[in-house]
Amino acid sequence: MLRILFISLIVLLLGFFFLQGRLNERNGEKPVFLRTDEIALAHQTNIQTTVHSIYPPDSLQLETLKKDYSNIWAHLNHLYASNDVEAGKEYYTEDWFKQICRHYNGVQQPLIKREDEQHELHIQNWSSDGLICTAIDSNVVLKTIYPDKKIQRTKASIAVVLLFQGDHWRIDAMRVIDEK
Amino acid sequence: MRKLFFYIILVFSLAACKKPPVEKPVWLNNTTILSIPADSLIFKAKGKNWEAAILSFTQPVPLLINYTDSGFILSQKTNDGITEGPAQIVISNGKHHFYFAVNLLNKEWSVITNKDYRSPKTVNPDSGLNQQRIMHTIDHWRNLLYTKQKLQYFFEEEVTLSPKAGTFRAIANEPLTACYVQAGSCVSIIVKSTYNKEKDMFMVTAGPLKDKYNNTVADGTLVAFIYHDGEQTHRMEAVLLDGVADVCIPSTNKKYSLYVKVNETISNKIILTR
Repeated sequence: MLRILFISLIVLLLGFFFLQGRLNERNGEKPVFLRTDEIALAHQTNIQTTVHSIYPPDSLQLETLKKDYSNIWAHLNHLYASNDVEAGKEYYTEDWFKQICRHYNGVQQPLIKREDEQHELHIQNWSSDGLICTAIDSNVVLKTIYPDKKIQRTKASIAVVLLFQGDHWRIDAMRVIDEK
Repeated sequence: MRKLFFYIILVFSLAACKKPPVEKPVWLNNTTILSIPADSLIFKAKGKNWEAAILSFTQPVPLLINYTDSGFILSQKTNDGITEGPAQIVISNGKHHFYFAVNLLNKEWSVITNKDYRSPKTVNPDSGLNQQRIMHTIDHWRNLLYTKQKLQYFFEEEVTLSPKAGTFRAIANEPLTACYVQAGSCVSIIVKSTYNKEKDMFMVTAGPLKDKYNNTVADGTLVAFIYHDGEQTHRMEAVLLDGVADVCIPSTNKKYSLYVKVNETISNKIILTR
């Protein structure tokens, strides 16, 4: 009799711990500094910068900007192809992220792909604390690849607002001035 | 012979099973400038296996399809705006894709926000009251709009702030645009002393300390009271609170010569006697 009671108690305890373990939420997402951004790593483009701002960025700030701007475009192209809003959230400000999430309907198989081959980034304003950058990206050479392998190249001019938040530059606002 | 006949029939049957080619839908109310949210885009097409999306400059926006007798009508799933500019309507039927170039324009800008970034956020009259101001305007959908300057998306100027210490906002109803004007260093020090007979102490008070713009000097500023009894020099320190700092110096039947020092500013000497 005692043995049955003892075994029942053990079973109850094991059941309790098992259920407790299942109830615990496990967040599998690693922190940003432990993640490898495969999309940004695989991306390559040519960015030329011209500084027109009253407060010019130093060479280190300029290099950081170029690297982050390249990563931003890696994710913008990925977003364009797949509507995967989450992949590039580290390069979007909160407001920009909220805006693109309005049209989120699940990640889709890439149909039309876009690559950015060339940028001429004209820095219009640079805040003296190095946290705000406004720029006109003229002559952006965009390569659009259609499902039938047809390739189309266009040139675009874009006005962008970038904010330095959480260790890197993020896109906050944009205006496509033209695309030909 | 029968077998051969059977094979011929089979080959012809297979040929008959081949799907007819998919024809490009005809956009009946075709427009080059598409107002967003898109509504009632009427297409003439055959079949009912269509999918459609607007491919804006930033992302694809799925469209709803309502089939009609002659084709289908596309409309946007939500009433939200979009990144304005060149785009394509992509209509797919299996592996067949058709593209219609459009220019997207939001019907409404909804809320227009003026952004006013200030740098530095905190200024001190000792170093200067100048602040860099970068402005731009955006609509609710993060599209940049022209500023007050003609054909300019960005505007920058140097502003000089009022020297009155306090907090102010670049945009009145946005707390995140708050900037701060600190009080500067004091320009003169008033020192007063009274003798407390019961405690046999000199109660020395420095202040109220003001900067050159008459702002009360910041709390916590270190104030040094330096006094000499004819033989030795002593030093006592106190921190400023509401512009005033005070110390109690034991009398010990001595006569003191005292002055107060705050950073580089020194007061006149006063004599402490009973």
